[in-house]
Amino acid sequence: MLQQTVYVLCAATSLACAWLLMRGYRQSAVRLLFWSGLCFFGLAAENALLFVDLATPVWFDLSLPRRLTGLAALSLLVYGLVWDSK
Amino acid sequence: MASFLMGATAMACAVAGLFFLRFWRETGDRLFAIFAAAFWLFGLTRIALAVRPSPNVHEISEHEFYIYLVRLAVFALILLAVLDKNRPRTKAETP
Amino acid sequence: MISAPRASFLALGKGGSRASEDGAKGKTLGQLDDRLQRFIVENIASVAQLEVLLLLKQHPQRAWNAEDVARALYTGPTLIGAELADWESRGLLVSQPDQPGHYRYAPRSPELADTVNKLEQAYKERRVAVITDIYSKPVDKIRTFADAFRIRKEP
Repeated sequence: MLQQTVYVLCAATSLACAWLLMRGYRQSAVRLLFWSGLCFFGLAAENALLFVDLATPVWFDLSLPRRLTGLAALSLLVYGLVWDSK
Repeated sequence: MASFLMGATAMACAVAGLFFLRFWRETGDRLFAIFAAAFWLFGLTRIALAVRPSPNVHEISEHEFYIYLVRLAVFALILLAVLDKNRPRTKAETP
Repeated sequence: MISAPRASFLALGKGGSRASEDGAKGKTLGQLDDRLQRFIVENIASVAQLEVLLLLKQHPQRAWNAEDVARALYTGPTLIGAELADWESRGLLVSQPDQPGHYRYAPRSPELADTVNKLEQAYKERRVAVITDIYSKPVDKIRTFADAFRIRKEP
């Protein structure tokens, strides 16, 4: 129960950050906000997958897509930081 | 494969944290210090998942109690940074 | 056939010097130190505001009021009062308790003092760069990132 709450809270926080950053990107057109917004969407997805993973049977392992999502999200962030932080 | 993914993710977290650390130094904005700590903490969980020897046949996964507790701390820190940014402030305070 | 390589060699040379010219031009046209640029963008909206600060900085022992400043800068005192109060709220001036409406230059922290020193120097040596940054408000990507997390946008 605690575990599911944690994943939901983390996903919600991540989603909120993603929304704030995307709104900021729409207003300012600063690309860094776009890439970091995508990152937070990805992290929200990762947390969502963790939540779903609890409900699926043991043989249906979501660990690979989960981890790939996390890596992809962070790669987008690093890309944005490297190229668009002046 | 799992170790590789965890290692790569940990590295990305470390790099992101370093960027945020630099931003904190440049602007003095607390938000970046908190973000740096959050991303590094997240990276630590990846390292723990990659490095920790499995006590039994099954691999250690994110569903371990301590791992997802630290995950909660990571996002609590991020939430804290956002709330801190939205505190009402006087003009004299640094943003 | 022989001219072609020479032409390209000349082009290379020309390109090289143009690049260095552009580099120098780029420096004059507003490549101030990041921290300085940030200070200007966050605190200074007009050249008059800057001149008020620098005037008080040049005479730190003296307590100025709006009329004194207006006379020294050859402007009207109406807006000066607001600008003096503004700098006080930003922690660069201190109002005198015994003299109402009088201010002295007294930066709140050594980093602030250092930044204003650099600003004074930049205003002497690279006035165009400073003025450009005051009025063009260059986009600070990092600050925009932090500001994105403000739920309600402040003016």
